[in-house]
Amino acid sequence: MSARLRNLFPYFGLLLLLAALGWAVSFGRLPPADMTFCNGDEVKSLDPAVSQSDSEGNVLRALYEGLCQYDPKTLEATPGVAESWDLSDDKLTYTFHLRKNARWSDGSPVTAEDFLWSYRRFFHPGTAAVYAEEFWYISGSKTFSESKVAVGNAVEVELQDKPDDGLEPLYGKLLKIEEPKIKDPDEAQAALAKVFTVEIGGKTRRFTRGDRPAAPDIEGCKHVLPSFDTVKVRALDPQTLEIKLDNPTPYFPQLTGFFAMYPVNRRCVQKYHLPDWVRPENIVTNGPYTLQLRRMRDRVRVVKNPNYWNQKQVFLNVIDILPIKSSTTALNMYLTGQVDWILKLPAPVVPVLLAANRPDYQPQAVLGTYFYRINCSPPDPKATESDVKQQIRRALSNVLVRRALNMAIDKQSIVDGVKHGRDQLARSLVPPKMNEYMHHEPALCEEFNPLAARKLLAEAGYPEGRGFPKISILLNTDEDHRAIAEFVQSQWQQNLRIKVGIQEKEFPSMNDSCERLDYDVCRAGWFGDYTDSNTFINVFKSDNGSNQTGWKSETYDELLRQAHHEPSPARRSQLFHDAERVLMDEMPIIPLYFYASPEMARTYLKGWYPNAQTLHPYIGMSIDPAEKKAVLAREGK
Amino acid sequence: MLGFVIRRLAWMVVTLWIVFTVTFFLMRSAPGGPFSRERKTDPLIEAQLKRRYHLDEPLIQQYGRELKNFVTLDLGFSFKSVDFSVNEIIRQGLPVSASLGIFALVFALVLGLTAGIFSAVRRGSLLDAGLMTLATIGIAVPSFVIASLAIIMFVFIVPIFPAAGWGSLSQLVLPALCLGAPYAAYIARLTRSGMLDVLGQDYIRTAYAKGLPRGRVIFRHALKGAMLPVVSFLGPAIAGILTGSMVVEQIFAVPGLGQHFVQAATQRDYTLCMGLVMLYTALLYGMNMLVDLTYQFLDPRIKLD
Repeated sequence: MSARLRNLFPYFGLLLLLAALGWAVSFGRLPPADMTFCNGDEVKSLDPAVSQSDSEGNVLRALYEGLCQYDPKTLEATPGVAESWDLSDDKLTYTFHLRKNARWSDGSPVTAEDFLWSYRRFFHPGTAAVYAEEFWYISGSKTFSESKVAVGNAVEVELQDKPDDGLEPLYGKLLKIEEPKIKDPDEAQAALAKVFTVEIGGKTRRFTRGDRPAAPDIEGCKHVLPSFDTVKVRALDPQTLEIKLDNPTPYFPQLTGFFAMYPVNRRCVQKYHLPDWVRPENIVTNGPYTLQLRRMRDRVRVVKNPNYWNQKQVFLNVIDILPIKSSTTALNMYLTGQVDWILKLPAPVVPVLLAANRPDYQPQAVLGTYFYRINCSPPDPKATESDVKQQIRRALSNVLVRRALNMAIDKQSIVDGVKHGRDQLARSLVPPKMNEYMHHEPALCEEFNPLAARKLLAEAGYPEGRGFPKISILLNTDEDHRAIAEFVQSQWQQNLRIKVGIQEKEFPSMNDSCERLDYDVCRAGWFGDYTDSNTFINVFKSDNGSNQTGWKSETYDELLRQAHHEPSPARRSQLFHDAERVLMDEMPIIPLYFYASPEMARTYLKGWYPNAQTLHPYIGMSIDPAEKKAVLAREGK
Repeated sequence: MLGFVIRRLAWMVVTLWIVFTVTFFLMRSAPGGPFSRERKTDPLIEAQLKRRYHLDEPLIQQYGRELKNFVTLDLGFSFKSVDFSVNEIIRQGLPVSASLGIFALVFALVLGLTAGIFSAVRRGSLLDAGLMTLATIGIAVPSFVIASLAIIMFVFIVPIFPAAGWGSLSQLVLPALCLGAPYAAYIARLTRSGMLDVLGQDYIRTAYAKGLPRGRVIFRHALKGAMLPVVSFLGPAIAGILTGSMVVEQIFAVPGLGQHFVQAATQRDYTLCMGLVMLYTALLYGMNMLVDLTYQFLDPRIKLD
């Protein structure tokens, strides 16, 4: 190494550093947006069928429009792409009349065929839409999604060499299903080994699912499905879509405005495929806005869609949607005037904001309940007396114990202490807010009463908590959840004299424990997807995957089955009430409080209204520039 | 030197493979999976999702597939942000984290070196005590506290910087300061001890005895030798600073890689997590190799091989 080279080295290092610095501070500048808001999280996808959370909903609502949309105040279904709709007398067939001037962002008309194709894609097992099950109200859709085929029926076969979302199958008639000789215990694997003989265009061909056919005369295919004709969605003409349901579903028009049910542009999807078709340069949408820019963790920028039919009602030209995860950061940006609307607040500032009585923070009740699940699965009869886990099962599967646990919690103190009086204590599963949408008389559980709780526990065989095994409360790591759990823990220890632990896990681990029923008591929250009690009551049906308590009640299931077939709204409400009564008598869950909306929006953001599902359509939203100036000036910005 | 580089690169391959294997099996053995959510997914739909992402295959087959993908540098699509491939996420996030990191690093170097040199030269003075106390505080106080204080000071009390976001120079300043502060403190302490070590050596006394001015002795003769511990620290520090800091990026809403790093792990985004771990490993390894190469420029006594 020469000395000269060595002497040059520091200068070289300095030069490198300066060059790096120059690169680091070079920015492309974006002009400011008309309105900016903090979305809770990064969006998973801009494909409606793949989406699965409200943060995606907030972006998709700008880009797409369903058959119906929502009234910004009441959430009632209002005309979207469908100008109007009729319901048959048996309350099962909806006929949607599409408006003639509905256009895609490329200028082509939005037709009934577009909806038909989008729904087909949505229910298709290859799409694996997580929300598909929420829409199995449509006749035949469940069989289609589950690819249940029967010999003699029309089927469609998706070949291996076709792209996943092309949906260009071969149509034929199913002649024979051969089960494998040795049955695989894993059901999914067993389904893969079946051989289907299908007559296609006069020729007989044999298929198995997957790319590894067992014999040379068998072709590998992606799917063998019932023909989509068996799903009762019909395009009667370009402007008329007919949908038949299995049961009367009064909230169905609302559901067609749900983000997962938005139509997608067939030509765009088939040309580019997922994920390329959702890129700004390719995507074709039919909503009030089109996608201009998408940078992960930075922003989604949407601009007004010049082809939108109702663009007279679209007042904001550019909207920036920021995926801000930290609620403190969001609040800082809000207070300094960088954003106009935030979806959540850090818990410690709530009392300060409430005390300030700000016009832009008036928390409203929403359709959401915070509760504890109790693992009700019965003990193993073969287990020994000393097995602690079985002792816990024995205790918690006793309804007297569960009632005692509920009665020993002073829920008002949680609401006042941890939630700062913003939320409302809960004695039922369905929030009272539901009463604004349908008559729902809540079935209440017992009130806070430590004396009666102790008595119940004694009756169950644990006088003064003697002999009661130590149970633990499972939660996902979060300050608020922990504060509540600590409070419940102290209440149970004080009022029932039982030992209680707290176990924290990250969200997927907690979820996994819940699904496997490997917990004692676990925190949970549920938000309504639509304004009908069913969205809550249905959760605790025996076969619902979200039940996760091990609790099964035939009475409950039967009441729900009756409610689903009941055309009369009054009797239907009564059936839901009766079902909730069963739930509140047996207490597989302990309702703790009803959520209030954590949103904050500037008063100069016009056309934005608080509502029960914190769902805000962009049509009709505007910013009053004079008021904005005045408000920000008053705050010294 | 060439032999050294080749040997190191060969070891790098081995290191990457081991890290890949450990990460793969750790991720798969963590409870829950990429499709966990509050609402239970219908078992059939979940089975279809698993099949689409090859999660229904035996673990060893999945391992082979992933390893092959990694070797061809195609890590596939993120599980959680399905519209983006892992490569795209890194392509979008790395420059942001790197910009922030470089800014923070320059700040840390300027502040740290100056403070360290002054402290060493004025050893035992009030200035030395003050600077070193500050440095200790800088190391001890976590960055979210520094960030919160900085926000209260420069966003709310004296509103000169925006609260958060990305896209302009003014939005870069606060996060860079908060990110750089602990590094500056480390560098100051390392420079000080390095300088003290060198200043006590014979060749410095010789330089003074020959009548060289003080500034020339310190900057020309002493500093180069004193830089060795700082340079060794900079290697891993650069790798860490370039891949971003979860805390700073979250508080200032910076769209870098730091947030992905933590979330990919907690949300079981297998592919993204793997991509980021491998990126970090490669950077760390590369930086350490670079540091070793730099030694011989700084200290003529060091010979590689």
